[in-house]
Amino acid sequence: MKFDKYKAFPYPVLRPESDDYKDGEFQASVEFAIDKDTIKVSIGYALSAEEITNEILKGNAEYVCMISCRDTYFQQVISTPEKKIEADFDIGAMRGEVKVNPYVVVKKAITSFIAPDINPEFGSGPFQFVEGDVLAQDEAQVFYIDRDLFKPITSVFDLVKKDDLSDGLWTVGFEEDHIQIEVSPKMKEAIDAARNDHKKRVVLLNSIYFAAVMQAVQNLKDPNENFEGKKWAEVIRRQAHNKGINLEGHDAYYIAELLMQQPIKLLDAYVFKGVDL
Amino acid sequence: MKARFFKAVKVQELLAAVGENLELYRAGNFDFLVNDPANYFETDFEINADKLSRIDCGKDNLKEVENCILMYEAMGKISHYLARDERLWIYLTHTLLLSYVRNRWPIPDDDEKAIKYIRNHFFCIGARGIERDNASSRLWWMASLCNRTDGLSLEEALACLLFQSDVRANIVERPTTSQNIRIFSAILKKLYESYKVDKKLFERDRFRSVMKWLNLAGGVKLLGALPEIKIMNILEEGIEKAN
Repeated sequence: MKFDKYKAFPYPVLRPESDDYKDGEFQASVEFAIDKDTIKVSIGYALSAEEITNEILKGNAEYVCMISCRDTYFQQVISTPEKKIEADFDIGAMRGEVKVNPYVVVKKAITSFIAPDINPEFGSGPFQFVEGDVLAQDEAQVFYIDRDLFKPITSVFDLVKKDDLSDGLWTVGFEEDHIQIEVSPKMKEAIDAARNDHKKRVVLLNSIYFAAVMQAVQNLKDPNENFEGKKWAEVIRRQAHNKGINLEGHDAYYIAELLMQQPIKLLDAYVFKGVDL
Repeated sequence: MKARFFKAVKVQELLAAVGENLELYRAGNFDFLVNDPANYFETDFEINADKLSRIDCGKDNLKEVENCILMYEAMGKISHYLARDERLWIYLTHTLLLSYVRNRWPIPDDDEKAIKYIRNHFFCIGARGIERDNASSRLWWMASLCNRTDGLSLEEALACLLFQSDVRANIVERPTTSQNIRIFSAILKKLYESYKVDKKLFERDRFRSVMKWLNLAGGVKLLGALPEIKIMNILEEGIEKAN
């Protein structure tokens, strides 16, 4: 059952952009995390319609989240009377676009439901609901699941040597699937050595990599550029989507900070304050 | 043997060169790709080459059910995540399954038609390329879907799903019916009952009418949250109305 603001149910349903209820809200917050073997989803519900909450407390209804992945034919229905729930799935169960549809669904027949906020167009009630009826629905949330999307953003960057570059200059190429950070052979050797040291890695992250991520974001913001089909572009766009970042809504430097999880904090901890590892 | 995936760049090259390679697709082979490890990478999971080699079909016997089962067993414990990777299936259609693909979808004599055919069945083009068109991946995905059916063997479920292409498309291409195991199982069980008796439920209009009924019911009830017995009741009501 898709969320459709124009859809008319034959009974009142608490939904965004619907006047079935004069007041009241139902919202779900959903977060995905991936580790080596597991996809973890954390779901939280906020429901301000007391009458619906009471039906959940009485065991007549429950919060339901339907997690669906079209590409792998995966669908899992997670039901709970609790406002928070976590669930784990096998790392191989989902890939690509994953939709999460949150509801409050009737579990046992409700014979006499009354709520003063129900639009009088439905009549004065009391209302009857049967198993499977929907009391509340939130908009679908879309996530992208791919192992690359949960790796550091720098995983789509390759450091490559370019023979004709002088030691102090570096350039960035966006034509391949991975972004190419091009440096002179001598500099490549120096950077490769620096990557083995945590503190030096933090410096690299805040210098070359930060600038390269920022330029990549700037390129994606440019309506005259087309990077369709490039892996790096897909990863950056989808990581931004999963983090709720609108590429058009902020400057490139700010988006780079968010995508790289505020790398200056690492600089502060490991370089300025000299925390030992 | 370990499963191999073509490198993405090789897939792009092959796709761009279908026209130039027409004779290889018609009568040659792609051994030169296998002989150069720069064209592919090998993964950790094992596939059964013997079972893959037994996938075959004749002009009058496509052996779809048997081939789906062989493919499913041959691929071992491959995850859905990996099974969604076109590079795996394109490697197979160009190597171990080359002869099967030619038999299953004989390449037309007309070059233009041949290119379209090859792109469809040797590669994974478009949104439904992996589960519908690629000669190797479609076998695995149909078996994988059917393997989730409660109460039917893989062979029984496949026999139902593959009996009539319109029925298959109606089930597989609707997320409501293909993704939810309880709904999918309920439909296949009803199809199997009909398959054993008179096959009436496979009639195009009748089945479409049942699917329409299910859609209407799913418009006001969250079917996916119902137990299978309730879904079955709704389905039976729809079948009754369609009679």
